[in-house]
Amino acid sequence: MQTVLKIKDLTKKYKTGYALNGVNMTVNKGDIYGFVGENGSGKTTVIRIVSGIAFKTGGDFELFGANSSSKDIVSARSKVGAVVESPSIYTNMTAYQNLKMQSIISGVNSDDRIKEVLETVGLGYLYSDKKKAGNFSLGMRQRLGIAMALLKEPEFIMLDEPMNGLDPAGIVEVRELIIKLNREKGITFLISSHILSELALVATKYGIISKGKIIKEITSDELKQACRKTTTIAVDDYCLLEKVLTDFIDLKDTKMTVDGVKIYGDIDLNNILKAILDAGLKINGVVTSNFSIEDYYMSVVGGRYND
Amino acid sequence: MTNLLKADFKKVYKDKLFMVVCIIGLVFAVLTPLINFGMLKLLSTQTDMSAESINALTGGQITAKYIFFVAFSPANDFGLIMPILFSVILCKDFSQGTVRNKILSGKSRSQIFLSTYIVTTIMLVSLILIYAFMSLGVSLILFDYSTTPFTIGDFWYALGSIGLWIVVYLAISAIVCLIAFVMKNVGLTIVMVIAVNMVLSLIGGLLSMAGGMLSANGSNLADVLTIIANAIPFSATHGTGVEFKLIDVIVSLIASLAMAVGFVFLGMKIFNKKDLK
Repeated sequence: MQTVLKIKDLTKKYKTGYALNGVNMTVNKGDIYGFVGENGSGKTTVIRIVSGIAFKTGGDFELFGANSSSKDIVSARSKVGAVVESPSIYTNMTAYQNLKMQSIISGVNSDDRIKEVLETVGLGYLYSDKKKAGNFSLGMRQRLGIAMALLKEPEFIMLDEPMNGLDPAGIVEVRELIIKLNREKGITFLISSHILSELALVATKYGIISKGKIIKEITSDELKQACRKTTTIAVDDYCLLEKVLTDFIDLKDTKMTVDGVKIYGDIDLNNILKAILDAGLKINGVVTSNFSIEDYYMSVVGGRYND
Repeated sequence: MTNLLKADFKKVYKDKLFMVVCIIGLVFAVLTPLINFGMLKLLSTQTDMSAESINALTGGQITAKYIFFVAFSPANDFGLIMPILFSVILCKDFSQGTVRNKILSGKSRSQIFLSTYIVTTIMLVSLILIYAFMSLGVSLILFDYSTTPFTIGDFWYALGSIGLWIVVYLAISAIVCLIAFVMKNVGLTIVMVIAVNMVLSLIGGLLSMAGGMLSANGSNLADVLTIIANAIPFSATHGTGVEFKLIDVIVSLIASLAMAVGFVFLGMKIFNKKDLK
C-alpha cells in the first residue's frame, strides 16, 4: 500500500513547552484518516507542519516519498490541498474570483474547473454571483475553502476541524462530500476533530493524539469491534453452550474469554437464556456492556483501555 | 514564479486600497502645484517680499521642472503615504491567511517573498512615475517649465534622475516588504513603516541641514554628512534634485542597491524560518 504521509518522532517546541512530543503516524493512500484529540493536543500543529505553514523542531516526515528536510517537499505539497483552521479566502472577492486567484497560483487557470469544483462543494450557484466572500456564512466559507483545496486536483487533502461552525445539514453535506471524493476520485483525507463520533461516520482509520503524542492508531473495523455491544455469558459447560448458540447466532461473532463467552452485537438474550436453561446448563453469570465511541475515546485518552 | 506574479498583481489590483492609493495620487498631483501656486501668489501680493526672498524661502524658484523632481521624493506627500498604504495591502495576505494557499500550491517561501517584492516595486515605481508626470502636467499650466527653456540635455537629465529614483524605490520597496513579512500584522506594519519612514527622513534631513551649516564654515565633515544623508532612501535630500552632483548620484545608487539586495535577502531569510498563523 502506498504511503502518502509518514511521520516519525515529530516534535514542535514553543517557548511555553512542547506542542508535539514525538508524533508517529502513517496515512496510506485511500485512507480517510480521522485525527482525533482534545483541544490543544497538537492536531492543528501536525497539519500546519505538514502543509509548510509551521516548521518542525525535531523528527521527520515524508510526504509522497519526499523527505521534510529535502527540497522536494515544496513540490510534494503541490499534490496536497488543505483547509487549516479557518479557510484562507480573500474576503473582498467573490467565490469565483477567489477560485480564479487560486487557479492562477496553481497554474490551473480554467473556468470550467472552477465551475466544476463549485458544483462539487454545492456552491455552483455562486459561479456568477457578485456576493463577496466576506459576507458568506461559515458553512459557505468552509465549502469555498474545500473548493480551493480541490482546484488543483490534489491527491491528499487535510481538513482541520471541517465541521466546526456548520449546521447539522452542513455537517451531513461536508461528510458526504468527503466520502464521495474519497470513493470516486480516490483522494486521501486527513481530517482532524476533537469529537471521535463525528469522524466515525467517515473515517477508515484513526489516530488519537493526546498531549502531543499519538497514543493509538486504529482502523475503523477495529474501532467498530471495540465499540460493539457485548454480552458475556458464563456457564458450566462451554461445549454444550456452543451447540445452543449455533441456533441463534453466527459463532464468528463470539469470543472465548476468561469471564465466559463474549457475544458481539445485538442478540435475543431472553430466548438464548431460555434455551441454555432448557439444555440443562447452569448459568454462572451474564454481563452486558455497551461501549460507545466516546467511552472508547475516553478510555484511550485516560489510559484505561487494554485491548 | 510567473503564476505567483500574475496572482500578486491581480490581488493588488483588486484591492480597494489600491484604488484609494490611486485617488490620493491624483488628488496630490493636482493639489501640490495648486498649493504652491496659491502660496506664491499670496506671498507676492500680500507681502513686500522680493522674488529673491521668496525663492530663498521656498528653497529655489518654483517651476514645473522643480515640482516634477520633488514629486519623486519618498519624504514628500504621495511618496510618503504610498509605501504605508502598500504595506497594508501586503499584510492582507497574512491577516486573511491567503499566503498559506501559495505555500500549499508548491511555491517556496523565497518565491513568495520575491514575487511580492517585484510586484510592490513595479507598482510603487509606476504610481510615482504617473504621479510625477501628472504633477508636471498640472504645473505646466500654472508655472513656467523652468528658468531656462527645455533642451535635449534636460531630457537626458530627467531620464537619469528617473533611473536613480527607480533604484531608490527598489530599496524602499524592500524595506516595506521586509517590515510587512516580519510583522505579518496590519496595525504593527503601519506603525513600523511610518516609524522607519519618519526616523530615516528626520535623520536624512538633520544630516543634510548640519552638512549645509558646516559647509558654510568650510568644514570637511560637511561632505561626509551629506554623503550619509544621500545614502538614506527616505531622506528628504533626494527630493531637491533639480540638480544632482555626481557624488550624490553614486552614493544614492550604491546605498540604495545595497539596501535593496540586503533587505530582500534578509526578508527571505526571516520568512524562511518563521511560522505562519
